[in-house]
Amino acid sequence: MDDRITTALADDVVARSQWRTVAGRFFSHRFAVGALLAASAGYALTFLAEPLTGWSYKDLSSDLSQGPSSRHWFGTDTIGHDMFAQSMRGLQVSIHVSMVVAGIATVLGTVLGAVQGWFRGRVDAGVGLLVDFLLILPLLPVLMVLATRTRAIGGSSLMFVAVVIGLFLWAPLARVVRGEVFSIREKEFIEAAAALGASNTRIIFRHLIPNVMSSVIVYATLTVATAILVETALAFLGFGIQPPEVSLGALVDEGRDAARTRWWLFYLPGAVLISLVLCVNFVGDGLRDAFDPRQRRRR
Amino acid sequence: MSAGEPVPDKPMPGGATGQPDSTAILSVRDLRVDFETDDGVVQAVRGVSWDVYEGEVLAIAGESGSGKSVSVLAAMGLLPPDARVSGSISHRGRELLGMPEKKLERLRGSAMSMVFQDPMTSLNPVMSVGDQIAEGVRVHQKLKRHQARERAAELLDLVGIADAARRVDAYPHEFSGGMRQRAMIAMAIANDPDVLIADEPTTALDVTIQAQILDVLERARQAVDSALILITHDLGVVARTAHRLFVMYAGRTAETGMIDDVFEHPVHPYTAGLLAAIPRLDTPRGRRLIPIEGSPPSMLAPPPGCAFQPRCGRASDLCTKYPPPPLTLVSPPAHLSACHHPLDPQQSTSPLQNPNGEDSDA
Amino acid sequence: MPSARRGGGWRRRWAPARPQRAPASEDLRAPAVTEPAISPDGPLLRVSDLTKDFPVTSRSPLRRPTGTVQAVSGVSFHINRGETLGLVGESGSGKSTIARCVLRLIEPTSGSVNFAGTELTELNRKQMRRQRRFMQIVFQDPMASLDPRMTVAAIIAEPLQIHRLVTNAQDQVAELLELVGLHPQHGNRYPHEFSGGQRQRIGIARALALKPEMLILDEPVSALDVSIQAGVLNLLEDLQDRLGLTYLFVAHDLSVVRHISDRVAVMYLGRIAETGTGEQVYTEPAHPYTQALLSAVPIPDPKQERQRHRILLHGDIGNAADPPSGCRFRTRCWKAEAICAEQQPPLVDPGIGHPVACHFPETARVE
Repeated sequence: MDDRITTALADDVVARSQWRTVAGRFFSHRFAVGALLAASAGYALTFLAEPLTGWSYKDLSSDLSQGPSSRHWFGTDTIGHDMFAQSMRGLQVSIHVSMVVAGIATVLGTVLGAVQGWFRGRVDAGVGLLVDFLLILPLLPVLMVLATRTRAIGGSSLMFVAVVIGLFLWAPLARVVRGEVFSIREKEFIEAAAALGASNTRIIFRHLIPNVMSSVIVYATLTVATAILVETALAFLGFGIQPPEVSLGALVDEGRDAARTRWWLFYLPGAVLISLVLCVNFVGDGLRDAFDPRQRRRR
Repeated sequence: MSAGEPVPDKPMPGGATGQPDSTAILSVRDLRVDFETDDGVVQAVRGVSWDVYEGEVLAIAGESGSGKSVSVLAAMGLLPPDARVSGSISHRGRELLGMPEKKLERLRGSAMSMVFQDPMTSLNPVMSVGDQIAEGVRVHQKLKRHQARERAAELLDLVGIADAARRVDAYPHEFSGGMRQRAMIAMAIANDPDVLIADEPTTALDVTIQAQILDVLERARQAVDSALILITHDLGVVARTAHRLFVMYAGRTAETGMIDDVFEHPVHPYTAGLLAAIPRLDTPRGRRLIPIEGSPPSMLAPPPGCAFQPRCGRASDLCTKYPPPPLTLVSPPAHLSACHHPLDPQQSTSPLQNPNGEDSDA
Repeated sequence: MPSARRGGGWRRRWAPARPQRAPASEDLRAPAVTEPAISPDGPLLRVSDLTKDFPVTSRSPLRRPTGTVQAVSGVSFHINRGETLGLVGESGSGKSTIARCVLRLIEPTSGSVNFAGTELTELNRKQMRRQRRFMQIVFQDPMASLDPRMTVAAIIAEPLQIHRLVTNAQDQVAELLELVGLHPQHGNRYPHEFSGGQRQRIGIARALALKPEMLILDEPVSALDVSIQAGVLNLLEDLQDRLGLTYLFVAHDLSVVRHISDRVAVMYLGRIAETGTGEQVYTEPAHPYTQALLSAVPIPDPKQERQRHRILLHGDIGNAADPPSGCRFRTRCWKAEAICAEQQPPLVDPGIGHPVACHFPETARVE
């Protein structure tokens, strides 16, 4: 009997795991792959900027307010910063901050959403209240107030900003995960795990969360994009990261007044920012398409 | 090697090769259906021919993936657009493949109509049952609104829905599963079709409800004097309902014939294996079932030669190299099978003969 | 000769650690109805007067309770060691609810579930989790019951990890895969790479990993193609012989239940209508519902089908949220009289050798 089954299996469609199927589909999505490559290349460039151009974002050159040239690719500002070095540093900071934000928001959102969906009842109601509260909270004003109030205790440090934004951005993901867990918890394999004697923790972390990972990954990518924009908006409004540290938002803010006269101060960092957000969104779209069950083979 | 003679060119009951049979209501010749998918081409139906004649109940039996539903959906023109259909499907001599959608729509419902497995999803939840039946009636017949409604009530009464005059205004969710299936049958016979197609009509239902629905289906069929194509995986339902049977495996016909012939003297190893593998109500505990080893092939890459060969005890080199021969006559009038090494119908000891150890065939 | 196969002399290849066993049935509540003779060493599972009501709540945000669905209403049965009890009924009969109540995957509303002397309804959550080692369940849909994100080896090893019984996971998994007729090398594949029958074998291997004494089989073959069912049924029989397992086999397919069960209980709307050995229930049914049910099952034999007498029931199985008074089958029964609406017929032996819950029992051959 064993041999028969073995032959039957050998004849089966190419054996591949779900992840490999998803990866295959993602890599056939040209825009997404391009965007991922571009974002990775951009990130690598932030480290290569100084060796390539010879300018650090902290350097003050004697070239003031110059347009783009082979010496200063993105020109310089009024006090002689090399804008390419500044933009690259800003890009790096934005990527780091958004990764931390997305990390915190994803972990919190996934775990709390799964806990909500699994335990239901009071736990669900309690966390749900918090989620609703966070969702109706006007994020920017609150963050601005927090930023002014906490400046004394390191409110302007990179990590602090990232953690605070992260603590505010988990709510939408928790809602998505909760919804998905509600449907997955009715599947028989969850009942099977319970029948085996699995504890709640085990069911949540071994069965529920791995099965919502596709949504989580897609959502985490989109959270990265949101985080970049939130951080940018804060910096643009003059909160969060403070000089000499730079972020793309701060650069755009500083270049705002010069948009008409010294366009490079505004448009070039702005272009970097928009490219980054676009890339992240394309990657998110690609992932969503790759995970989309409607793409699965029909019978 | 083969148990009978090749089928003559002349069309014959059981329709195997050659030209469409003009005496048949629906005549299918060398039908092939492929689906393009991410993983490749799924060959759902691989050269199937059958006819259905006036007033008969034809069962098409097979497991999931055998292509039994696809071949009939193709006849109804209900396949998704990514299906590639070739061959010939004709209704009373008129070719249906390639017919403009408008003309096909006129045939659907009036000449051929369909009852699906899941009546909940095939009924519109926001429209009353009566309106849905009346709508179908008015598409094909010139009737006033109230006449169509009366007709709907009549039809519901015919399919055994008590208090039909009042129930026409009920919505699908107010009906039980069995009643919904009755409503579907009422809708299917509303325009006196030539052929009624029922795709696993009782699979979603309990056994006592299944008995009712099979009964209603037969009554409805007789009321409009149509033929019935019954697609099912349940050989018990076939034995109860059908006159003639097609057994499909992996997109091809394995065996066909009048049900008594096929059940008593199965000649295709698959048919015989299937009959030996199913537990029966009338066999006591302890009788060992004889399973068919392995599982049905993937239709993305069906095995070369005979698709059943990897699971077949009679397979030889011939079966791995060459596809099975065309349907070949086993015994008149219509018992045919497509197998390199068919069982001898005289000696094929069908498991049916000896359920209790005593000979019931005497 | 079904009983010849399962004499007491079968050596268990795996000797499972047994739960503490109290002397048989002393601490049991008296069962609500009479039970047929009990084998000398006492039944492995005894369910007494089991009831499960599901609250029905309004759809408004206040979720006020508006009624109850009486899914199971006072059901008693026992299963002897090494035997198979088939629990058969149509949808809504409560058979799956019973299976889950026995494992306390659903908390019973009242009644007693006694497994090898342990009263399961009195265990706390932690004790119950430990108890699950001895009784396992195999589900209907083999695809849905296997976590799609785990390899087969991880799925089969999971119960061992939960109960800290891992000694050599690889060998243990390989042995289990072999036990159910799968190739040990297939452990690193994912469930979707297997066919339906193979998936169900994986589900069985997982259930056997803890070397349980009893398996609850909830429609284990009804999602499988007919050509596959026989293999799984044979496997279940072989495993029972080799490992001395006790089965509660829940199914709607009467043919399958007859094939595998030593004893059968026929359920209707949350109650047992008739119970007895397979032979008794199938060849001498005395409850009108059993008779109608059996006559409704088609037999794959055209000649026999044409000769059979069929009892067509009208209407559908009643509503468990508002079951008929007295005998719950009376609304569809051709024998119903006034008393049927007034009194619930007890499940007792009317002198035919097996218990029937009917005011007018009368044996009849249905075949």
